[in-house]
Amino acid sequence: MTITFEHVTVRFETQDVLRDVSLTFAERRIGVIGNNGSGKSTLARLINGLVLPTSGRVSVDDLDTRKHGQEVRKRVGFVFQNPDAQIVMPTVAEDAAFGPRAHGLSVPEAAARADAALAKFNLSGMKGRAAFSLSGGEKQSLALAGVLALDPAWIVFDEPTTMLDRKRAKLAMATIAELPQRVIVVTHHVELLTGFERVIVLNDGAVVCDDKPELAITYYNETLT
Amino acid sequence: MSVGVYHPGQSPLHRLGPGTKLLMLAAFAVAVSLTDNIALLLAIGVSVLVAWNIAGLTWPQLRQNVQPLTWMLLALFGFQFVVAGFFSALDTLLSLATLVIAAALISHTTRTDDMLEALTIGLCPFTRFGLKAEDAAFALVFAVRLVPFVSAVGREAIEARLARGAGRNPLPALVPMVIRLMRETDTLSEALVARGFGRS
Amino acid sequence: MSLIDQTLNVKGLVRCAMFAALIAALGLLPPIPVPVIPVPITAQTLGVMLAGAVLGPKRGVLAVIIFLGVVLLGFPLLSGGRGGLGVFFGPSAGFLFGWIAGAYVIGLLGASSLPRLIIACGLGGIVAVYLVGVPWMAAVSDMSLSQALLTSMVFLPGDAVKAILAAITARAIQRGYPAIMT
Repeated sequence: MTITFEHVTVRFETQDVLRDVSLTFAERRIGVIGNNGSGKSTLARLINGLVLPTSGRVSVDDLDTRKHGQEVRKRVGFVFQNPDAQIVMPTVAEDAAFGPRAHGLSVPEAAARADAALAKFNLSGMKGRAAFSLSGGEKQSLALAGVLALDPAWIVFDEPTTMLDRKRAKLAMATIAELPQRVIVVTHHVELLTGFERVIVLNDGAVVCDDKPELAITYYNETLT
Repeated sequence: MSVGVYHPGQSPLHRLGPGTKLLMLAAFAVAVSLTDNIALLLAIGVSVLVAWNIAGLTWPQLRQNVQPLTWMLLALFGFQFVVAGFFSALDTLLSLATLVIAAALISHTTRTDDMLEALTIGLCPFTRFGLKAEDAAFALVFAVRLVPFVSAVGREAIEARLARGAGRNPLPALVPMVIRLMRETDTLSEALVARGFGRS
Repeated sequence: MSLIDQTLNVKGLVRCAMFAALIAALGLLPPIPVPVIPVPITAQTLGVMLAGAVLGPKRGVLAVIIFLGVVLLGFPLLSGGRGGLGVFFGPSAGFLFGWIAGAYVIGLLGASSLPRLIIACGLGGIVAVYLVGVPWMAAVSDMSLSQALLTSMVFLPGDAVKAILAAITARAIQRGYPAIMT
């Protein structure tokens, strides 16, 4: 189970957001850090084909994101920074079932998947509620439940703690730590990545450090902040 | 505001007040639609083109205004030609083309801010729907500034559906998009009131 | 006037401006070709119908007027990138004015059940809009009413599809954000 970046460059209009990035992800816990504008959010979006490389190739288990977007998105879940941006259906139950439905499961199958995922986060009692009326923490849980309902092998988190207070950030990271899936976390809260296997530091569209968390975080703190 | 179609210049048309120009356009519209004298219409058409030139506007700009209507105008011409004959068809074609060009001429020679002011006065009859003149001006400017925001929320909604396995079809994304936009209005209006905007 | 009343009033205005911006943003989408239907569907009128269904008659009308005002100011936000005074003088300009009537009727008939919403969008988004647009086209282009109506029929299938889509979308929005009805 690997994700590979081969000489990936991403250009928006005239600006290179990522330049000639080559990486192979096989670890279970990977962190990606960098300042705003470093390209880390684009790196995250490349993994499940939300952004396609301008040149080069990104593949998940040898599936090219350019040619097999749908299959890749079944294997790689994506949790957005703002849970509001992630909710796509009116009610809690419908939203949790959206991913499985979109990937072709029947209505009862999708509902069963959704039920199981909602139960994991104590949301079973809220199925009929308008998804937007949930509290911030509940929305975060719903966002994750919606992704878990697809049973992906990987989950990419785009700045999962940026909008949370310290207590909720810790809770969120504890939840992430317990997930059986392989996880890639993009963040600039470096202290949340202790216990990860590998941390990548991006600056100005290039990988400037790729190491154990302690070493990478020290590098980031000393040279880029 | 800079995205509008205003073309800076010093011509007499540029210097006329926006209210005057709009009234002139209205009178012009009535006159053009009442007459069916082809010679007169031709003369009016030529004078509009002369005014276009005097205002310092270019022919590519003229084409930009007329092009979207070409097929419609040609279809109408053909239709009238069959039903009512050549002169009636020519009448329709000339009237419409002249009016559209004259209206565009006013837009190109009036600064957006001036147009906004004239429009604000013109919107007064709509007070019955709860719109006050000063609010109207604000609403117009505010709506323009919200367009990029709305597009960004729309992109996010499409992206969220895509990330979870749906296609790129923008229409289903309308639901979460509108809900988010309406929720954002709560925050936006609080911010506006906090900054002193309000009606007493 | 209390601060809360004031916020509610401002909120109404902001919602109208937001919907005007939504109608504009929908005009930036390329037209969507639909099988069987001769004219590709533009999403802009969908926004107009939603304005009535979601905001109610008064605010729906306001949102459409704000949008038309912005177009009149010269911003090229009408679908196809058109804007300025010129667009209000063409043969199909009556349909733009018809949007105001359409949003009003939809808002007036607006309901919280799908069948009634479909009826509202049909009567408002099609009948009311055509009631203004068709006579305008007849008057401006020297046609008889029936000839103008016949000409407008090319748009009918697309508008019918849009009325149904608008009703479905509006219903989903109501379920996802019940507070919207207040």
